[in-house]
Amino acid sequence: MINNKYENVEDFLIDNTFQEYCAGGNEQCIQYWNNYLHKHPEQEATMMQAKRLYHILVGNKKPLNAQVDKLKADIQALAPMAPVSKFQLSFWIKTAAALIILAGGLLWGIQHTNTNEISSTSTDVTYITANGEKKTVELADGSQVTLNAGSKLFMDKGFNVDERHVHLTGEAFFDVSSNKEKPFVVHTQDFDIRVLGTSFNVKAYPEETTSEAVLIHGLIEMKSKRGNENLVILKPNQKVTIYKAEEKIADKESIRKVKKSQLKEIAIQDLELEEDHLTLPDVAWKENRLEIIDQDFSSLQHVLERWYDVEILLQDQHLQDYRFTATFNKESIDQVLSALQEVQPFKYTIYGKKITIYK
Amino acid sequence: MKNKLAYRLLWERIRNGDEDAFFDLYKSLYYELVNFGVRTSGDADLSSEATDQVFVTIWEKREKLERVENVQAYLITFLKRKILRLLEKQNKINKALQNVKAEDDWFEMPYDEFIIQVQTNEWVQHRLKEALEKLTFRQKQLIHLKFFEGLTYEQIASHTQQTIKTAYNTVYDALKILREELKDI
Repeated sequence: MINNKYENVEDFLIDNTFQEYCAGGNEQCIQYWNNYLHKHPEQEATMMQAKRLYHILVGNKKPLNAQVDKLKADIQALAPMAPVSKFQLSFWIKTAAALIILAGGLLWGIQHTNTNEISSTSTDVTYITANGEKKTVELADGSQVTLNAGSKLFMDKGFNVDERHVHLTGEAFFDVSSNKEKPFVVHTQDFDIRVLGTSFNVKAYPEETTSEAVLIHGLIEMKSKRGNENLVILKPNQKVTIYKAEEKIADKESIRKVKKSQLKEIAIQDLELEEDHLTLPDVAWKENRLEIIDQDFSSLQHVLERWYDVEILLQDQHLQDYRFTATFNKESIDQVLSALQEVQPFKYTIYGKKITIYK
Repeated sequence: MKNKLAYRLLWERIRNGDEDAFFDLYKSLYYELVNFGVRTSGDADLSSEATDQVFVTIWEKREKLERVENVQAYLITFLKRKILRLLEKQNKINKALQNVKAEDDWFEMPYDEFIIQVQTNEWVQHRLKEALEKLTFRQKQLIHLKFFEGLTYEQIASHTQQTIKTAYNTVYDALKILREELKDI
């Protein structure tokens, strides 16, 4: 609450921004109040008194950023540190020895330290989910994969013999069991992911303009198959987005505008760490929650089609640009559309599995 | 307060040598740990020193760190040991801490005790003690929550089940009294 009248010590000290100024951690507050001091030099004594009282009341604690700097100096003194770069050229990365996985509130650790029994696939195995379907499977090496709607996971013959290769179209959440001897590699149309014991989410639908991978735990290495063969190492709670070339998109059914692809090829994003990884929007689908964050109707259309196994026709060009942010939890498609209508008005009809949306 | 899992994830990354995670953890837990140290030892510098030592040791030994279920609890335990060691070095173990064998016995002083103890100047200690006696319980409590614990007015309001406006006014009144009582220091 910023007051307009500052007279006494208590007027300054009651103010949050002034407290931050005293604490010394917030650049804006410091600037603001230094400025104020400059404009009202006659109030200097009062302000200094307020500051003094502040330090007494907080127990003379040192401000955080000064402490952070001190800590940095302390650990530098320990041993020279190798600089950590996000783009590394080596294929082998440090591993997490075992996994911590969260599934519906239960915690367990998977540790496969040895391979006394080598189970492998002697034939090709493929797992497929239809639109509107979700499936969790356990692979021969103990890894667990949850496939989202409209996805396909194909295992190489000889999976778990020397290496572990799988091919994915669509979206899946991987909990890979740790095995340093046998690298686990996920191949998609636009990139390969080499992992050594981690959990992560991969989204690679062919009809979308981007592919994504979100890392929850451990470290993975991602190599783009596009032109430059960019290689990135992901740390937990980072998301990589790979942008496809424009010409690939063709959709016979809807009158959908082809989105202009971005200029950059790969973007890495640090995600906000929410309560636990199960609430990250990207893995919300695993928990039967549909989270939409500022998406336009045309990308939402695809999501809804897969999620509910319907066909959606956007009859008016302008509809594509409507934007929505919402969370759904087991509602029917009818309820979802009703809710979306409250945000941006549109009309729709449902005829079996075909939905038409118009203005 | 962040969920336990968020800290566990940071911990795992630290074990893997992730420096960013290390500083994120430090920034998240710094005040919680230092405040604990102040409330128990009554010494702000010592508390700060002990907290830093805890973190330096963690970084030094990151590759040998064990997997930890509850990071906050682990760090508090670690902190307690450091505090005791520092106090021994300074020959300062006061009566309260001397009898502490079990790590669960730590006694946290009330605000109007440690906030006085923490002042290094005896004159300030004396004046502050007298000033605090002029405050009501509520006023002392809110001053504690606002300044020492660093809560926002919203948080204070929900913590003490008052409206934000009441919280704000209570703090203001308390400050007015303190300002008057302490104007000569």
